[in-house]
Amino acid sequence: MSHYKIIFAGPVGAGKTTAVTAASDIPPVRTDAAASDEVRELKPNTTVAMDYGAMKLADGSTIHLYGTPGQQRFDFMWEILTEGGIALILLIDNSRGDPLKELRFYLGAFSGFIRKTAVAIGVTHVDLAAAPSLSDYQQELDRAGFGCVPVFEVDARARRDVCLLIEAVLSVIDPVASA
Amino acid sequence: MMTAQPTLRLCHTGMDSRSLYAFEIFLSRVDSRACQITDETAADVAFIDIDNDLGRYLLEGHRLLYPGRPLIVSTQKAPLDNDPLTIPVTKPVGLAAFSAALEQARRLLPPAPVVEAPLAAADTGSLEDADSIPDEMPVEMLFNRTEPRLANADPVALLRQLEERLSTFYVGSMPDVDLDDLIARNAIYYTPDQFLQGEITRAVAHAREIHRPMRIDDASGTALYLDPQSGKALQARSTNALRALAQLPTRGTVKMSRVEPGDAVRMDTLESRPLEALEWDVALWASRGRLPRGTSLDHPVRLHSWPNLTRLAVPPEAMRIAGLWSRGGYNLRDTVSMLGIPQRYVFAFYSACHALGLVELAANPAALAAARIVSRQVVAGPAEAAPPMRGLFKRILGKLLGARLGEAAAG
Ligand SMILES: Nc1nc2c(ncn2[C@@H]2O[C@H](COP(=O)(O)OP(=O)(O)OP(=O)(O)O)[C@@H](O)[C@H]2O)c(=O)[nH]1
Ligand SMILES: [Mg+2]
Repeated sequence: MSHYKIIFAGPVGAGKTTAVTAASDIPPVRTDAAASDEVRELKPNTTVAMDYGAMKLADGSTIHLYGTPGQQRFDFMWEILTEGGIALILLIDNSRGDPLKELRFYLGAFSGFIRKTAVAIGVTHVDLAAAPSLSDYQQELDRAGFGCVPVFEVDARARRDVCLLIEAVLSVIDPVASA
Repeated sequence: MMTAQPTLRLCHTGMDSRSLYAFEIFLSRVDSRACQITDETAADVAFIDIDNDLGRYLLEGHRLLYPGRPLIVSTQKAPLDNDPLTIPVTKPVGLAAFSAALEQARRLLPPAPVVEAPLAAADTGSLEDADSIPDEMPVEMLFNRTEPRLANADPVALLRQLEERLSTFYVGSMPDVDLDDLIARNAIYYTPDQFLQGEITRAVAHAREIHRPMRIDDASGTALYLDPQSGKALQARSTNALRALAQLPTRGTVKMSRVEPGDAVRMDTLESRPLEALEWDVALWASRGRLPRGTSLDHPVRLHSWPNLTRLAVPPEAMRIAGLWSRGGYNLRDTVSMLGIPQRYVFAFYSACHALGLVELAANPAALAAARIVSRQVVAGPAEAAPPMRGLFKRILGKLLGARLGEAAAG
Protein backbone atom coordinates (compact mmCIF):
# COMPACT_ATOMS: atom_id res chain seq x y z
CA MET A 1 0.00 0.00 0.00
CA SER A 2 1.32 3.40 -0.87
CA HIS A 3 1.49 6.28 1.50
CA TYR A 4 1.79 9.94 0.63
CA LYS A 5 2.22 12.84 2.93
CA ILE A 6 1.03 16.41 2.50
CA ILE A 7 1.96 19.13 4.96
CA PHE A 8 -0.16 22.13 5.96
CA ALA A 9 1.74 25.15 7.27
CA GLY A 10 1.12 28.81 7.94
CA PRO A 11 0.59 31.28 10.74
CA VAL A 12 -1.45 30.86 13.89
CA GLY A 13 -5.17 30.80 13.22
CA ALA A 14 -4.86 30.46 9.45
CA GLY A 15 -6.92 27.26 9.58
CA LYS A 16 -4.44 24.36 9.38
CA THR A 17 -6.16 22.27 12.03
CA THR A 18 -9.54 23.13 10.54
CA ALA A 19 -8.42 22.19 7.01
CA VAL A 20 -6.92 18.86 8.03
CA THR A 21 -10.12 18.08 9.90
CA ALA A 22 -12.29 19.05 6.91
CA ALA A 23 -10.40 16.90 4.42
CA SER A 24 -9.79 13.89 6.64
CA ASP A 25 -11.82 10.70 6.33
CA ILE A 26 -10.89 9.63 9.81
CA PRO A 27 -11.35 11.48 13.08
CA PRO A 28 -8.24 13.64 13.10
CA VAL A 29 -5.60 13.47 15.76
CA ARG A 30 -5.01 16.89 17.19
CA THR A 31 -2.59 18.21 19.68
CA ASP A 32 -4.43 21.39 20.47
CA ALA A 33 -3.83 22.90 23.85
CA ALA A 34 -5.32 25.91 25.53
CA ALA A 35 -3.55 28.88 24.10
CA SER A 36 -1.53 31.04 26.41
CA ASP A 37 0.04 34.39 25.66
CA GLU A 38 -1.11 36.54 22.77
CA VAL A 39 -2.69 33.65 20.84
CA ARG A 40 -5.49 33.45 23.40
CA GLU A 41 -6.97 36.68 22.17
CA LEU A 42 -7.34 35.09 18.79
CA LYS A 43 -8.72 31.68 19.61
CA PRO A 44 -8.93 29.38 22.62
CA ASN A 45 -6.77 26.54 21.26
CA THR A 46 -3.55 26.25 19.36
CA THR A 47 -1.64 23.32 17.94
CA VAL A 48 1.44 22.44 19.96
CA ALA A 49 2.87 19.50 18.05
CA MET A 50 0.88 18.55 14.97
CA ASP A 51 -2.47 17.63 13.48
CA TYR A 52 -2.95 14.39 11.69
CA GLY A 53 -5.68 13.31 9.31
CA ALA A 54 -5.91 10.93 6.38
CA MET A 55 -7.70 10.46 3.10
CA LYS A 56 -8.27 6.79 2.44
CA LEU A 57 -8.29 5.69 -1.16
CA ALA A 58 -10.27 2.78 -2.50
CA ASP A 59 -7.20 0.60 -3.05
CA GLY A 60 -6.13 0.95 0.55
CA SER A 61 -3.48 3.56 0.05
CA THR A 62 -3.54 6.65 2.14
CA ILE A 63 -2.79 10.31 1.83
CA HIS A 64 -1.59 11.49 5.20
CA LEU A 65 -2.34 15.07 6.07
CA TYR A 66 -0.12 16.78 8.62
CA GLY A 67 -0.82 20.15 10.14
CA THR A 68 2.09 22.00 11.66
CA PRO A 69 1.87 24.31 14.67
CA GLY A 70 1.73 27.93 13.58
CA GLN A 71 3.63 29.35 16.51
CA GLN A 72 7.26 29.90 15.77
CA ARG A 73 8.35 28.57 19.13
CA PHE A 74 7.35 25.15 17.79
CA ASP A 75 9.24 25.57 14.54
CA PHE A 76 11.48 22.59 15.31
CA MET A 77 8.40 20.52 14.38
CA TRP A 78 8.34 21.94 10.87
CA GLU A 79 11.38 20.12 9.69
CA ILE A 80 10.39 16.90 11.39
CA LEU A 81 6.95 17.00 9.82
CA THR A 82 8.08 17.77 6.27
CA GLU A 83 10.33 14.70 6.22
CA GLY A 84 9.14 12.45 3.39
CA GLY A 85 6.38 14.84 2.33
CA ILE A 86 5.38 15.30 -1.30
CA ALA A 87 3.81 18.76 -1.13
CA LEU A 88 3.23 21.80 1.02
CA ILE A 89 -0.02 23.63 1.45
CA LEU A 90 0.46 27.06 2.89
CA LEU A 91 -2.55 28.68 4.50
CA ILE A 92 -2.46 32.42 5.12
CA ASP A 93 -5.09 34.37 7.05
CA ASN A 94 -6.02 37.38 4.93
CA SER A 95 -7.67 39.19 7.81
CA ARG A 96 -4.81 39.53 10.25
CA GLY A 97 -1.46 41.25 10.46
CA ASP A 98 0.47 41.63 7.24
CA PRO A 99 -0.52 38.60 5.16
CA LEU A 100 2.09 39.14 2.45
CA LYS A 101 4.82 39.36 5.04
CA GLU A 102 3.57 36.08 6.50
CA LEU A 103 3.67 34.59 3.03
CA ARG A 104 7.28 35.69 2.59
CA PHE A 105 8.20 34.32 5.97
CA TYR A 106 6.72 30.87 5.44
CA LEU A 107 8.02 30.60 1.89
CA GLY A 108 11.44 31.30 3.32
CA ALA A 109 11.08 28.89 6.21
CA PHE A 110 9.99 26.04 3.91
CA SER A 111 11.94 27.02 0.80
CA GLY A 112 14.19 23.96 0.84
CA PHE A 113 11.21 21.65 0.98
CA ILE A 114 9.22 23.60 -1.62
CA ARG A 115 12.07 23.52 -4.14
CA LYS A 116 12.16 19.76 -3.88
CA THR A 117 8.39 19.32 -4.01
CA ALA A 118 5.55 21.75 -4.72
CA VAL A 119 3.47 24.35 -2.95
CA ALA A 120 -0.05 25.71 -3.16
CA ILE A 121 -1.37 28.71 -1.26
CA GLY A 122 -4.78 28.85 0.38
CA VAL A 123 -5.83 32.34 1.37
CA THR A 124 -8.31 32.06 4.24
CA HIS A 125 -10.69 34.49 5.94
CA VAL A 126 -11.26 36.35 2.68
CA ASP A 127 -14.85 36.78 3.83
CA LEU A 128 -13.47 39.01 6.57
CA ALA A 129 -10.86 40.87 4.50
CA ALA A 130 -10.82 41.05 0.70
CA ALA A 131 -7.38 42.65 0.45
CA PRO A 132 -4.66 41.80 -0.35
CA SER A 133 -5.94 40.21 -3.56
CA LEU A 134 -4.88 36.87 -4.97
CA SER A 135 -2.83 38.67 -7.59
CA ASP A 136 -0.94 40.49 -4.82
CA TYR A 137 -0.02 37.05 -3.53
CA GLN A 138 1.10 35.91 -6.97
CA GLN A 139 3.26 39.02 -7.33
CA GLU A 140 4.89 38.25 -4.00
CA LEU A 141 5.56 34.71 -5.19
CA ASP A 142 7.08 36.04 -8.39
CA ARG A 143 9.32 38.38 -6.44
CA ALA A 144 10.47 35.51 -4.24
CA GLY A 145 11.27 33.47 -7.36
CA PHE A 146 8.65 30.77 -6.97
CA GLY A 147 6.92 31.38 -10.28
CA CYS A 148 3.32 30.55 -10.96
CA VAL A 149 1.81 28.69 -8.03
CA PRO A 150 -1.84 27.77 -7.30
CA VAL A 151 -3.28 30.50 -5.10
CA PHE A 152 -6.91 29.94 -4.16
CA GLU A 153 -9.37 31.57 -1.89
CA VAL A 154 -10.10 28.90 0.69
CA ASP A 155 -12.44 28.56 3.57
CA ALA A 156 -10.64 26.01 5.69
CA ARG A 157 -13.99 24.78 7.02
CA ALA A 158 -15.13 23.74 3.53
CA ARG A 159 -14.03 20.27 2.45
CA ARG A 160 -14.50 21.18 -1.19
CA ASP A 161 -12.08 24.09 -0.96
CA VAL A 162 -9.44 22.06 0.80
CA CYS A 163 -9.80 19.17 -1.65
CA LEU A 164 -9.44 21.52 -4.62
CA LEU A 165 -6.24 22.88 -3.15
CA ILE A 166 -4.91 19.35 -2.69
CA GLU A 167 -5.88 18.49 -6.26
CA ALA A 168 -4.07 21.60 -7.50
CA VAL A 169 -0.83 20.85 -5.71
CA LEU A 170 -0.89 17.26 -6.99
CA SER A 171 -1.42 18.57 -10.51
CA VAL A 172 1.64 20.75 -10.13
CA ILE A 173 3.78 17.83 -9.03
CA ASP A 174 2.86 15.77 -12.02
CA PRO A 175 0.15 16.96 -14.39
CA VAL A 176 0.84 14.20 -16.84
CA ALA A 177 0.57 11.33 -14.40
CA SER A 178 -2.67 12.54 -12.94
CA ALA A 179 -4.60 11.16 -15.91
CA MET B 1 -59.05 0.07 -13.32
CA MET B 2 -56.47 2.68 -14.21
CA THR B 3 -56.65 4.93 -17.19
CA ALA B 4 -54.25 4.45 -20.06
CA GLN B 5 -50.84 5.74 -19.08
CA PRO B 6 -47.72 6.33 -21.05
CA THR B 7 -44.78 4.06 -20.42
CA LEU B 8 -42.29 5.53 -17.99
CA ARG B 9 -38.84 5.87 -19.44
CA LEU B 10 -36.33 4.83 -16.83
CA CYS B 11 -32.56 5.19 -16.76
CA HIS B 12 -30.27 3.85 -14.09
CA THR B 13 -26.83 4.47 -12.70
CA GLY B 14 -24.59 3.28 -9.90
CA MET B 15 -25.06 -0.45 -10.38
CA ASP B 16 -22.18 -2.75 -11.13
CA SER B 17 -22.79 -5.06 -14.05
CA ARG B 18 -23.96 -7.93 -11.92
CA SER B 19 -26.59 -5.89 -10.13
CA LEU B 20 -27.50 -4.48 -13.48
CA TYR B 21 -28.11 -7.94 -14.87
CA ALA B 22 -30.24 -8.76 -11.86
CA PHE B 23 -32.07 -5.50 -12.26
CA GLU B 24 -32.92 -6.29 -15.84
CA ILE B 25 -34.34 -9.64 -14.86
CA PHE B 26 -36.23 -7.88 -12.14
CA LEU B 27 -37.61 -5.33 -14.56
CA SER B 28 -38.78 -8.06 -16.88
CA ARG B 29 -41.20 -8.97 -14.13
CA VAL B 30 -42.51 -5.45 -14.02
CA ASP B 31 -45.00 -4.85 -16.78
CA SER B 32 -43.13 -3.50 -19.77
CA ARG B 33 -45.99 -1.07 -20.30
CA ALA B 34 -45.24 0.45 -16.92
CA CYS B 35 -41.61 1.13 -17.49
CA GLN B 36 -38.86 0.74 -20.01
CA ILE B 37 -35.13 1.24 -19.83
CA THR B 38 -33.87 4.16 -21.82
CA ASP B 39 -30.75 6.27 -21.97
CA GLU B 40 -30.11 8.98 -19.49
CA THR B 41 -31.00 11.99 -21.58
CA ALA B 42 -34.39 10.63 -22.61
CA ALA B 43 -35.51 9.35 -19.23
CA ASP B 44 -38.52 10.50 -17.23
CA VAL B 45 -37.26 8.86 -14.07
CA ALA B 46 -33.86 7.67 -12.90
CA PHE B 47 -33.07 4.72 -10.71
CA ILE B 48 -29.88 5.21 -8.73
CA ASP B 49 -28.21 2.75 -6.47
CA ILE B 50 -26.19 4.74 -3.97
CA ASP B 51 -24.60 1.99 -1.92
CA ASN B 52 -21.09 2.48 -3.19
CA ASP B 53 -18.32 4.92 -2.40
CA LEU B 54 -19.48 7.52 -4.80
CA GLY B 55 -23.20 6.85 -4.79
CA ARG B 56 -24.11 10.11 -3.19
CA TYR B 57 -22.14 12.02 -5.75
CA LEU B 58 -23.81 10.18 -8.59
CA LEU B 59 -27.10 11.16 -7.03
CA GLU B 60 -26.14 14.78 -6.61
CA GLY B 61 -24.60 14.93 -10.06
CA HIS B 62 -27.75 13.53 -11.59
CA ARG B 63 -29.80 16.06 -9.66
CA LEU B 64 -27.60 18.84 -11.03
CA LEU B 65 -28.05 17.67 -14.59
CA TYR B 66 -31.77 17.01 -14.33
CA PRO B 67 -33.16 19.23 -11.61
CA GLY B 68 -36.79 18.35 -12.30
CA ARG B 69 -36.51 14.59 -12.68
CA PRO B 70 -37.92 12.19 -10.09
CA LEU B 71 -35.19 9.90 -8.79
CA ILE B 72 -35.78 6.47 -7.28
CA VAL B 73 -32.91 5.78 -4.97
CA SER B 74 -32.07 2.37 -3.60
CA THR B 75 -30.03 2.05 -0.47
CA GLN B 76 -29.58 -0.20 2.51
CA LYS B 77 -29.10 2.74 4.75
CA ALA B 78 -31.45 5.18 6.37
CA PRO B 79 -33.57 7.48 4.20
CA LEU B 80 -32.09 10.52 2.55
CA ASP B 81 -32.61 14.22 2.88
CA ASN B 82 -36.03 15.60 2.29
CA ASP B 83 -35.98 16.12 -1.42
CA PRO B 84 -39.55 15.93 -2.70
CA LEU B 85 -38.37 14.52 -6.02
CA THR B 86 -36.33 11.73 -4.46
CA ILE B 87 -38.08 8.48 -3.70
CA PRO B 88 -36.12 6.13 -1.46
CA VAL B 89 -36.56 2.38 -1.72
CA THR B 90 -34.88 0.28 0.90
CA LYS B 91 -32.91 -2.73 -0.19
CA PRO B 92 -33.61 -5.50 -0.73
CA VAL B 93 -35.99 -4.01 -3.22
CA GLY B 94 -39.15 -5.97 -3.77
CA LEU B 95 -41.46 -5.75 -6.72
CA ALA B 96 -44.31 -4.17 -4.84
CA ALA B 97 -42.08 -1.47 -3.39
CA PHE B 98 -40.50 -0.79 -6.74
CA SER B 99 -43.86 -0.57 -8.48
CA ALA B 100 -45.11 1.77 -5.81
CA ALA B 101 -42.03 3.93 -6.31
CA LEU B 102 -42.66 4.02 -10.05
CA GLU B 103 -46.21 5.06 -9.41
CA GLN B 104 -45.05 7.79 -7.07
CA ALA B 105 -42.53 8.96 -9.67
CA ARG B 106 -45.27 9.06 -12.24
CA ARG B 107 -47.31 11.35 -10.05
CA LEU B 108 -44.34 13.66 -9.70
CA LEU B 109 -43.97 14.14 -13.42
CA PRO B 110 -45.35 17.32 -14.88
CA PRO B 111 -48.65 16.66 -16.69
CA ALA B 112 -47.01 17.33 -20.04
CA PRO B 113 -48.55 15.69 -23.08
CA VAL B 114 -46.33 12.65 -23.22
CA VAL B 115 -45.75 10.56 -26.30
CA GLU B 116 -48.37 7.87 -26.72
CA ALA B 117 -47.34 4.60 -25.28
CA PRO B 118 -47.31 1.87 -27.87
CA LEU B 119 -49.82 -0.25 -26.00
CA ALA B 120 -51.73 2.50 -24.30
CA ALA B 121 -55.07 1.44 -25.72
CA ALA B 122 -54.75 -2.03 -24.35
CA ASP B 123 -53.44 -0.87 -21.02
CA THR B 124 -55.51 -2.22 -18.22
CA GLY B 125 -53.43 -1.04 -15.31
CA SER B 126 -49.94 -2.30 -15.55
CA LEU B 127 -48.98 -1.54 -12.00
CA GLU B 128 -51.86 -3.55 -10.65
CA ASP B 129 -50.51 -6.42 -12.68
CA ALA B 130 -47.09 -5.86 -11.25
CA ASP B 131 -48.53 -5.81 -7.78
CA SER B 132 -50.12 -9.13 -8.34
CA ILE B 133 -46.78 -10.80 -8.95
CA PRO B 134 -45.67 -12.43 -5.70
CA ASP B 135 -43.00 -10.36 -4.08
CA GLU B 136 -40.42 -13.08 -3.68
CA MET B 137 -37.91 -12.28 -6.35
CA PRO B 138 -34.38 -13.61 -6.01
CA VAL B 139 -33.42 -10.11 -6.95
CA GLU B 140 -33.11 -9.25 -3.27
CA MET B 141 -30.04 -11.36 -3.11
CA LEU B 142 -28.74 -10.21 -6.40
CA PHE B 143 -28.98 -6.59 -5.37
CA ASN B 144 -26.90 -7.26 -2.36
CA ARG B 145 -24.12 -9.23 -3.95
CA THR B 146 -20.65 -8.28 -2.94
CA GLU B 147 -18.79 -9.91 -5.79
CA PRO B 148 -15.93 -7.85 -7.17
CA ARG B 149 -17.04 -5.09 -9.44
CA LEU B 150 -16.33 -5.21 -13.10
CA ALA B 151 -14.13 -2.52 -14.46
CA ASN B 152 -16.80 -0.89 -16.58
CA ALA B 153 -18.92 -0.20 -13.54
CA ASP B 154 -16.14 1.64 -11.72
CA PRO B 155 -17.84 4.49 -9.87
CA VAL B 156 -14.90 6.78 -10.54
CA ALA B 157 -15.42 6.22 -14.25
CA LEU B 158 -19.13 6.90 -13.84
CA LEU B 159 -18.36 10.04 -11.94
CA ARG B 160 -15.95 11.14 -14.61
CA GLN B 161 -18.60 10.58 -17.27
CA LEU B 162 -21.00 12.57 -15.19
CA GLU B 163 -18.52 15.40 -14.86
CA GLU B 164 -17.93 15.30 -18.56
CA ARG B 165 -21.61 15.60 -19.33
CA LEU B 166 -22.06 18.40 -16.85
CA SER B 167 -19.12 20.10 -18.44
CA THR B 168 -20.55 20.27 -21.94
CA PHE B 169 -22.03 23.55 -20.77
CA TYR B 170 -18.52 24.81 -20.43
CA VAL B 171 -16.48 23.07 -23.08
CA GLY B 172 -19.09 22.27 -25.71
CA SER B 173 -18.85 19.00 -27.56
CA MET B 174 -16.68 19.81 -30.57
CA PRO B 175 -14.66 16.80 -31.67
CA ASP B 176 -10.90 17.10 -32.15
CA VAL B 177 -9.80 18.37 -35.54
CA ASP B 178 -6.61 17.84 -37.50
CA LEU B 179 -4.61 20.87 -36.42
CA ASP B 180 -2.43 20.69 -39.51
CA ASP B 181 -5.40 20.92 -41.83
CA LEU B 182 -5.79 24.64 -42.32
CA ILE B 183 -9.41 24.42 -43.36
CA ALA B 184 -10.53 22.07 -40.62
CA ARG B 185 -8.61 24.20 -38.19
CA ASN B 186 -10.92 27.10 -38.81
CA ALA B 187 -13.48 25.39 -36.61
CA ILE B 188 -11.39 25.82 -33.47
CA TYR B 189 -11.62 29.59 -33.45
CA TYR B 190 -14.26 32.04 -32.34
CA THR B 191 -14.32 35.82 -32.17
CA PRO B 192 -15.03 36.91 -28.59
CA ASP B 193 -16.01 40.38 -29.81
CA GLN B 194 -19.06 38.99 -31.54
CA PHE B 195 -20.45 37.47 -28.36
CA LEU B 196 -21.81 38.69 -25.06
CA GLN B 197 -18.25 38.17 -23.87
CA GLY B 198 -17.05 41.03 -26.07
CA GLU B 199 -19.93 43.24 -25.02
CA ILE B 200 -19.04 42.70 -21.38
CA THR B 201 -15.40 43.49 -22.04
CA ARG B 202 -16.37 46.77 -23.69
CA ALA B 203 -18.85 47.64 -20.96
CA VAL B 204 -16.33 46.95 -18.21
CA ALA B 205 -13.68 49.06 -19.94
CA HIS B 206 -16.17 51.89 -20.34
CA ALA B 207 -17.32 51.60 -16.71
CA ARG B 208 -13.72 51.98 -15.62
CA GLU B 209 -13.35 55.11 -17.74
CA ILE B 210 -16.44 56.84 -16.47
CA HIS B 211 -16.23 55.44 -12.92
CA ARG B 212 -19.82 54.32 -13.11
CA PRO B 213 -21.45 50.88 -13.33
CA MET B 214 -22.81 49.78 -16.72
CA ARG B 215 -25.86 47.89 -17.80
CA ILE B 216 -26.30 45.36 -20.59
CA ASP B 217 -29.69 45.06 -22.26
CA ASP B 218 -31.14 42.93 -24.99
CA ALA B 219 -34.58 42.85 -26.59
CA SER B 220 -36.20 41.46 -23.45
CA GLY B 221 -34.73 44.08 -21.13
CA THR B 222 -31.75 44.29 -18.82
CA ALA B 223 -29.63 41.18 -18.51
CA LEU B 224 -26.68 42.37 -16.43
CA TYR B 225 -25.35 45.17 -14.29
CA LEU B 226 -21.56 45.42 -14.13
CA ASP B 227 -19.56 47.30 -11.55
CA PRO B 228 -15.81 46.84 -11.95
CA GLN B 229 -15.15 49.29 -9.13
CA SER B 230 -16.66 46.95 -6.54
CA GLY B 231 -15.76 43.89 -8.63
CA LYS B 232 -19.42 42.81 -8.62
CA ALA B 233 -21.96 41.82 -11.24
CA LEU B 234 -25.72 41.61 -10.87
CA GLN B 235 -27.49 39.01 -12.93
CA ALA B 236 -31.04 39.89 -13.93
CA ARG B 237 -31.57 36.60 -15.76
CA SER B 238 -31.51 32.97 -14.78
CA THR B 239 -28.21 31.24 -15.46
CA ASN B 240 -29.84 29.19 -18.22
CA ALA B 241 -31.14 32.30 -19.96
CA LEU B 242 -27.79 34.00 -19.64
CA ARG B 243 -25.99 31.01 -21.05
CA ALA B 244 -28.33 30.98 -24.02
CA LEU B 245 -27.53 34.63 -24.61
CA ALA B 246 -23.79 34.07 -24.24
CA GLN B 247 -23.49 31.06 -26.52
CA LEU B 248 -24.48 32.70 -29.79
CA PRO B 249 -23.13 35.76 -31.56
CA THR B 250 -25.18 38.73 -30.42
CA ARG B 251 -25.51 40.25 -33.92
CA GLY B 252 -26.27 43.69 -32.62
CA THR B 253 -29.14 42.60 -30.36
CA VAL B 254 -27.29 43.61 -27.22
CA LYS B 255 -26.38 47.10 -26.13
CA MET B 256 -24.73 48.69 -23.17
CA SER B 257 -25.61 51.84 -21.32
CA ARG B 258 -24.66 53.50 -18.11
CA VAL B 259 -26.59 52.67 -14.97
CA GLU B 260 -29.03 55.44 -14.10
CA PRO B 261 -30.51 56.31 -10.72
CA GLY B 262 -33.76 54.71 -11.84
CA ASP B 263 -32.02 51.31 -11.94
CA ALA B 264 -31.44 51.30 -8.20
CA VAL B 265 -34.78 49.75 -7.24
CA ARG B 266 -34.29 46.81 -9.56
CA MET B 267 -30.66 46.38 -8.58
CA ASP B 268 -31.55 46.16 -4.93
CA THR B 269 -33.55 43.03 -5.61
CA LEU B 270 -30.72 41.17 -7.34
CA GLU B 271 -27.97 39.15 -5.79
CA SER B 272 -24.43 40.08 -6.69
CA ARG B 273 -21.61 37.78 -7.66
CA PRO B 274 -17.96 38.44 -8.40
CA LEU B 275 -17.57 40.07 -11.81
CA GLU B 276 -14.63 37.77 -12.43
CA ALA B 277 -16.81 34.67 -12.05
CA LEU B 278 -19.29 36.07 -14.55
CA GLU B 279 -16.55 36.90 -17.06
CA TRP B 280 -15.18 33.40 -16.63
CA ASP B 281 -18.55 31.72 -17.27
CA VAL B 282 -19.40 33.95 -20.21
CA ALA B 283 -16.04 33.26 -21.85
CA LEU B 284 -16.50 29.50 -21.44
CA TRP B 285 -20.02 29.66 -22.84
CA ALA B 286 -18.93 31.62 -25.89
CA SER B 287 -15.81 29.57 -26.45
CA ARG B 288 -17.54 26.18 -26.27
CA GLY B 289 -14.16 24.56 -26.58
CA ARG B 290 -12.71 27.02 -29.10
CA LEU B 291 -9.90 29.59 -29.01
CA PRO B 292 -9.99 33.33 -29.58
CA ARG B 293 -9.26 33.84 -33.25
CA GLY B 294 -5.59 34.45 -33.87
CA THR B 295 -4.33 32.33 -30.95
CA SER B 296 -1.21 30.49 -32.00
CA LEU B 297 -0.97 26.80 -31.37
CA ASP B 298 2.81 26.85 -31.45
CA HIS B 299 3.84 29.61 -29.11
CA PRO B 300 4.37 28.50 -25.51
CA VAL B 301 1.62 29.40 -23.08
CA ARG B 302 2.64 31.50 -20.12
CA LEU B 303 0.33 31.27 -17.13
CA HIS B 304 0.83 34.35 -14.95
CA SER B 305 -1.42 33.19 -12.18
CA TRP B 306 -3.80 30.35 -11.51
CA PRO B 307 -7.50 31.06 -11.80
CA ASN B 308 -9.18 31.01 -8.40
CA LEU B 309 -10.63 27.57 -8.94
CA THR B 310 -12.37 27.34 -5.58
CA ARG B 311 -14.63 30.22 -6.60
CA LEU B 312 -14.89 29.72 -10.37
CA ALA B 313 -16.47 26.92 -12.35
CA VAL B 314 -13.90 24.14 -12.79
CA PRO B 315 -13.98 22.97 -16.40
CA PRO B 316 -12.74 19.43 -17.01
CA GLU B 317 -9.02 18.83 -16.56
CA ALA B 318 -8.46 22.45 -15.60
CA MET B 319 -6.14 21.47 -12.77
CA ARG B 320 -3.85 19.38 -14.91
CA ILE B 321 -3.74 21.95 -17.68
CA ALA B 322 -2.84 24.70 -15.22
CA GLY B 323 -0.33 22.38 -13.58
CA LEU B 324 1.40 21.85 -16.91
CA TRP B 325 1.33 25.51 -17.87
CA SER B 326 2.72 26.64 -14.55
CA ARG B 327 5.88 24.77 -15.49
CA GLY B 328 6.13 26.97 -18.56
CA GLY B 329 7.20 26.08 -22.03
CA TYR B 330 4.24 24.14 -23.40
CA ASN B 331 2.21 25.31 -26.36
CA LEU B 332 -1.42 24.43 -26.95
CA ARG B 333 -0.63 21.61 -29.33
CA ASP B 334 1.74 20.00 -26.82
CA THR B 335 -0.73 20.49 -24.01
CA VAL B 336 -3.30 18.37 -25.82
CA SER B 337 -0.86 15.60 -26.60
CA MET B 338 1.01 15.61 -23.29
CA LEU B 339 -2.17 15.32 -21.26
CA GLY B 340 -3.99 13.10 -23.74
CA ILE B 341 -7.25 15.02 -23.43
CA PRO B 342 -9.73 16.45 -25.97
CA GLN B 343 -8.66 19.68 -27.64
CA ARG B 344 -11.82 21.42 -26.48
CA TYR B 345 -10.81 21.05 -22.81
CA VAL B 346 -7.54 22.82 -23.44
CA PHE B 347 -8.99 25.48 -25.71
CA ALA B 348 -11.91 26.28 -23.39
CA PHE B 349 -9.62 26.63 -20.42
CA TYR B 350 -7.24 28.82 -22.37
CA SER B 351 -10.10 31.06 -23.54
CA ALA B 352 -11.41 31.50 -20.00
CA CYS B 353 -7.95 32.24 -18.58
CA HIS B 354 -7.38 34.65 -21.45
CA ALA B 355 -10.62 36.49 -20.68
CA LEU B 356 -9.35 37.10 -17.14
CA GLY B 357 -5.90 38.12 -18.35
CA LEU B 358 -4.19 35.17 -16.69
CA VAL B 359 -2.37 33.80 -19.72
CA GLU B 360 -0.42 35.01 -22.67
CA LEU B 361 1.61 33.43 -25.42
CA ALA B 362 5.37 33.75 -25.42
CA ALA B 363 6.61 35.91 -28.25
CA ASN B 364 8.05 33.15 -30.36
CA PRO B 365 8.19 29.40 -30.57
CA ALA B 366 11.95 29.40 -30.11
CA ALA B 367 11.40 30.48 -26.54
CA LEU B 368 9.84 27.08 -26.07
CA ALA B 369 12.90 24.96 -25.73
CA ALA B 370 14.63 27.49 -23.52
CA ALA B 371 11.62 27.90 -21.27
CA ARG B 372 11.42 24.18 -20.79
CA ILE B 373 14.97 23.90 -19.66
CA VAL B 374 14.45 26.67 -17.15
CA SER B 375 11.26 25.13 -15.84
CA ARG B 376 13.02 21.83 -15.28
CA GLN B 377 15.55 23.60 -13.14
CA VAL B 378 13.07 25.61 -11.16
CA VAL B 379 10.51 22.92 -10.44
CA ALA B 380 11.18 19.26 -10.01
CA GLY B 381 10.51 17.92 -13.51
CA PRO B 382 8.02 15.17 -14.21
CA ALA B 383 10.80 12.69 -14.60
CA GLU B 384 11.88 13.11 -10.99
CA ALA B 385 8.50 13.42 -9.40
CA ALA B 386 6.57 10.92 -11.42
CA PRO B 387 7.50 7.40 -10.38
CA PRO B 388 6.15 7.35 -6.83
CA MET B 389 3.21 9.48 -7.89
CA ARG B 390 1.97 7.55 -10.86
CA GLY B 391 -1.46 6.25 -10.24
CA LEU B 392 -1.99 8.28 -7.11
CA PHE B 393 -4.03 10.83 -8.95
CA LYS B 394 -6.18 8.23 -10.56
CA ARG B 395 -6.97 6.84 -7.18
CA ILE B 396 -7.58 10.13 -5.47
CA LEU B 397 -9.57 11.56 -8.33
CA GLY B 398 -12.83 9.98 -7.26
CA LYS B 399 -12.50 11.52 -3.89
CA LEU B 400 -11.62 14.97 -5.07
CA LEU B 401 -14.14 14.90 -7.86
CA GLY B 402 -16.71 13.71 -5.39
CA ALA B 403 -16.03 16.59 -3.06
CA ARG B 404 -16.31 18.92 -6.02
CA LEU B 405 -19.54 17.65 -7.47
CA GLY B 406 -21.03 16.95 -4.09
CA GLU B 407 -20.80 20.43 -2.75
CA ALA B 408 -21.58 22.02 -6.05
CA ALA B 409 -24.84 20.11 -5.88
CA ALA B 410 -25.46 21.03 -2.29
CA GLY B 411 -24.67 24.69 -2.76
N1 LIG C 1 -14.50 33.43 8.82
C1 LIG C 1 -13.66 32.47 8.47
N2 LIG C 1 -13.18 31.65 9.42
C2 LIG C 1 -12.32 30.69 9.03
C3 LIG C 1 -11.94 30.51 7.69
N3 LIG C 1 -11.07 29.47 7.63
C4 LIG C 1 -10.92 29.03 8.89
N4 LIG C 1 -11.68 29.75 9.74
C5 LIG C 1 -11.74 29.66 11.22
O1 LIG C 1 -10.48 30.12 11.70
C6 LIG C 1 -10.04 29.35 12.80
C7 LIG C 1 -8.73 28.65 12.45
O2 LIG C 1 -8.29 27.93 13.57
P1 LIG C 1 -7.28 26.70 13.49
O3 LIG C 1 -7.71 25.76 12.43
O4 LIG C 1 -7.15 26.18 14.88
O5 LIG C 1 -5.95 27.43 13.05
P2 LIG C 1 -4.48 26.82 12.97
O6 LIG C 1 -3.92 27.27 11.68
O7 LIG C 1 -4.51 25.36 13.19
O8 LIG C 1 -3.74 27.58 14.18
P3 LIG C 1 -2.51 27.10 15.13
O9 LIG C 1 -2.64 25.65 15.39
O10 LIG C 1 -2.69 27.89 16.38
O11 LIG C 1 -1.26 27.47 14.44
C8 LIG C 1 -11.17 28.37 13.09
O12 LIG C 1 -12.00 28.92 14.07
C9 LIG C 1 -11.90 28.26 11.75
O13 LIG C 1 -13.25 27.93 11.91
C10 LIG C 1 -12.47 31.41 6.71
O14 LIG C 1 -12.18 31.35 5.50
N5 LIG C 1 -13.32 32.36 7.16
MG1 LIG D 1 -3.67 24.19 14.59
